[in-house]
Amino acid sequence: MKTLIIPEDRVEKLRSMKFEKNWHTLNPVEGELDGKPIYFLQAELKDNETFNEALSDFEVCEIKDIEIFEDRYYDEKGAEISEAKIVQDKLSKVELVHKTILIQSKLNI
Amino acid sequence: MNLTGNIESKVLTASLSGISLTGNISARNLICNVDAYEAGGGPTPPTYEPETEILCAEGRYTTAPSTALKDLINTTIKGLKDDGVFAKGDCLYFRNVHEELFACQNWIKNAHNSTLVNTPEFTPKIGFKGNGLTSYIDNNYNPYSDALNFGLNSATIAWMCPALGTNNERYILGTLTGGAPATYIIAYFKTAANEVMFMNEKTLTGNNNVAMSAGSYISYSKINNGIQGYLNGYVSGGVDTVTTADRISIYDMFEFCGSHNTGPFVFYNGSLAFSFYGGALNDAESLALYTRAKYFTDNVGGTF
Repeated sequence: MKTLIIPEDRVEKLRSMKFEKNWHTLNPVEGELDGKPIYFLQAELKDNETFNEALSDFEVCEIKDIEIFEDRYYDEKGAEISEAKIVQDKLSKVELVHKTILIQSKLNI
Repeated sequence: MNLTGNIESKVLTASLSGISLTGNISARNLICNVDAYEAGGGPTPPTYEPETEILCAEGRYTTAPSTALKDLINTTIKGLKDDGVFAKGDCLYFRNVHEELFACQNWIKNAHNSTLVNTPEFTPKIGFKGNGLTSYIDNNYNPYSDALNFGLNSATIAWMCPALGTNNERYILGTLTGGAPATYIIAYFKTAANEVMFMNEKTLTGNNNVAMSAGSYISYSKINNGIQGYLNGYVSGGVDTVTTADRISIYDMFEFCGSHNTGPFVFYNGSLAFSFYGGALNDAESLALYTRAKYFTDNVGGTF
């Protein structure tokens, strides 16, 4: 999926922006790509009539072709926990740290 | 037939057996508007519930709902009031209407109207669809600070999904931001096990999660420490018991929400046509809510 990488210093600006259709907002999602924390949005939003002007200002944005969005969970000590175990434990017996790992399409690397 | 008029004000009115005529005299012509109703339908124009008028007021839509849609809305609201459900609600959203803005409106009162974040896809007559990645709906409803009816020991959430998502381990309704205290209200959907659950607290006993399928309606009601699930209006499974201390979420309620732990991150990618948040509904009220929601959903297609 084509994904727009949003620079961290632009995230709050985007989140606070008001749009003509004032019931719409943008909120970049936090993830991790190649071991580095990133923020991202779906690239299609650049073509959305509500958002295209706001996102066209982000000339520095990169577009990556992401093949997999993988959820990973960690306990308080940083040890990874499988999703199966989380479900078995009814989701929330432990306070988990979560990361969304973005894995690029091979064609894109 | 009675004809009354005032030439100076150039207005004439007349009525005949339930047919009302009003007219203005203009350049010697009498122009009449005839509001004719079906035989037996009564002479008076339809009157709407106050909540219908508030919902259908200017500013809450881009394109006004049709008369047929407004009538259906009124039927639904009146029915829910008669059922005793409306008074127990804090938020009621029918997403399967004619346009996005109107689909964001809370039917209970003009507050907690939804914000669309990262453009969930809207389809008239169906509702919103998450993209499983970035899109969600913020209902601007914080159970901790905004609830009038939703309470620690009396709570219901309900929703209807026209289409299920494809990604596992996603959450349909709930609060998203994590940290302690984290989310204690959540509807969770896991494709593989076809399960959902309602949690108003961190831990439940039992395994009575309601199985969901495309088009199904789910609700969960919590009374004190017991949580009862309903499928298509009827009791499904036994009562789950909350085993640890209750807390109410201090975060906004989201649809297609990400996680109750930390986030935001990847979201649910199914569809939502309807949702409700309020005080605990009993068995009869739960069935009534489903029946009204189903009737609206089945009939909205012909109204625009």
